[in-house]
Amino acid sequence: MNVDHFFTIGAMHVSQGTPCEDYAWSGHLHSDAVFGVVSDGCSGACANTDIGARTISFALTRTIQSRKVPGGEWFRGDFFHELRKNFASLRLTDTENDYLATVVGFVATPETASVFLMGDGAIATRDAEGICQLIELDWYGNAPYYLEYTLRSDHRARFLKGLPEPSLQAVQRRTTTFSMNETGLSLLGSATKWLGFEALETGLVLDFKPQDQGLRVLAVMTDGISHIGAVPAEAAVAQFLAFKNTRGGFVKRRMRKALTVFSQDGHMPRDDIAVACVWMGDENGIH
Amino acid sequence: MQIFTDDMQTGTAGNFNFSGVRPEKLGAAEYTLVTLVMDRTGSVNGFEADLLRVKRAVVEACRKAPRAEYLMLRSVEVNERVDVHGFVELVNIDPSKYRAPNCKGSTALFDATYSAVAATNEYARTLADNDFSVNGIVIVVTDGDDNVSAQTVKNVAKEIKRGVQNEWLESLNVVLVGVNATCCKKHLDVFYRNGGLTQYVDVGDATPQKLARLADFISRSITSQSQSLGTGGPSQALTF
Repeated sequence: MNVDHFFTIGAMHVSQGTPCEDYAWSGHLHSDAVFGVVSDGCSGACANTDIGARTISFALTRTIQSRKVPGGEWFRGDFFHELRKNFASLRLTDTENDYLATVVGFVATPETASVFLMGDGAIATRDAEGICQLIELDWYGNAPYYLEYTLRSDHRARFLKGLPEPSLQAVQRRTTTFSMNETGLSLLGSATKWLGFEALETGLVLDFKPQDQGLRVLAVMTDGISHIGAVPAEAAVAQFLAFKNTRGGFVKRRMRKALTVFSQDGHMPRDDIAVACVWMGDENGIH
Repeated sequence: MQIFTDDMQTGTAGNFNFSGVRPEKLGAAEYTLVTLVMDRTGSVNGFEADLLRVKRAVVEACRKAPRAEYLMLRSVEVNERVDVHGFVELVNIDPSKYRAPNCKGSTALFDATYSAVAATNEYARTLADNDFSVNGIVIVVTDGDDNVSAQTVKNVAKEIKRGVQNEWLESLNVVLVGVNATCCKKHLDVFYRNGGLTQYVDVGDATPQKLARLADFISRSITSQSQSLGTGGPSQALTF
């Protein structure tokens, strides 16, 4: 398995002279597992959420590195409690709002993979036949429930007051299935459903069986993938996962090329983008 | 020194063959393709050992540079354009294995420059097709003017533009270096201007001090071109 990551600043932050508030990180764990993580600081907080994005990424990394659990259990048991503890202990500044950031991360072995998401973001897979699935999660009013809120005793009740129907309509989950071939993008199916607050209050965990499901790629992404000019998210992801090769900086190469092609067609990323991805196919191949 | 393993592939540029590491064996996201073209004609007899020292010093210096992992080097010795080795990641080259050439023959300067640029263009195309970002620098070290080339200066100029125009290369710098070539300075200057080369440097006599400066100049030029990768344009020409 090869793992890599990439992140880049969006046009909005470039024009404002503000830093990239997305972050990505990846690597190998002590066992035969790999991990990847992306995070997205809250632009609306008017705070140094670039710091929060890095902090939450490293908090997640530290948490999974310290856990000695069987495959597939990385994000279960007392994971959330340990993540909160690590996140609270990694503080560079005294401003709480600096730490408003989403996080999406995975741990994978050839047999088992799990994804953890807190806030919003996207998860994408591609199988051996080239069929891709994209799962996007967005909160009502584009106001995610951040991990930082769980450290503030009074915030939960205040947050729930902002949701019209907290138990029914807090997070929208969109699942799109598609494939890419010589003729272009083919949409194979799409479904949208609303989830209640409790479904994501302590994060969402998804499990995969890469070998059984024939998966070749598992990727986590921030929501900037749906803000690249007029390019639909699934079209962007189809390009982001169309690796020509899978060694070393394979995600960086593909992302740079794909974004260059999009920009040549007039589609610039408005928002920051972060991607972390594991390749589970042939060592040197694209299959 | 021959470096050709299962990780390499061959390519063709016009009538010339070259080799390079297979893209699927490469790890970085971007590379600067460096070609060192060193004169091995009869006229450099007597200071071929010095030129070898220059080559070794350049490779040693570049191996220590911060961006060493993003450099690929091809070494060519010319009278007949012999490929010492193809495009290989510089960190994998042991400069102590280079040997002084057996100097003989006439100078095919235009052919040597053309084939080095053409190989750079073709290998860059292969890398670009595999999502790599690429730029290039070709350094041609000669002590004389062209005698026997089949290629023309006009063809060299066209080939220098081809890689960038096709967006295989972000930029390409071609530096002509004259050593002990004061008598041909005028002709080399004409080649530089009409051939669309980036820079012409007349080192003067092949003294140890001048050659040490040359090694430093070449390694700085390579590092500078590598640092410019991603900026959209070439590095600025450095002063010898």
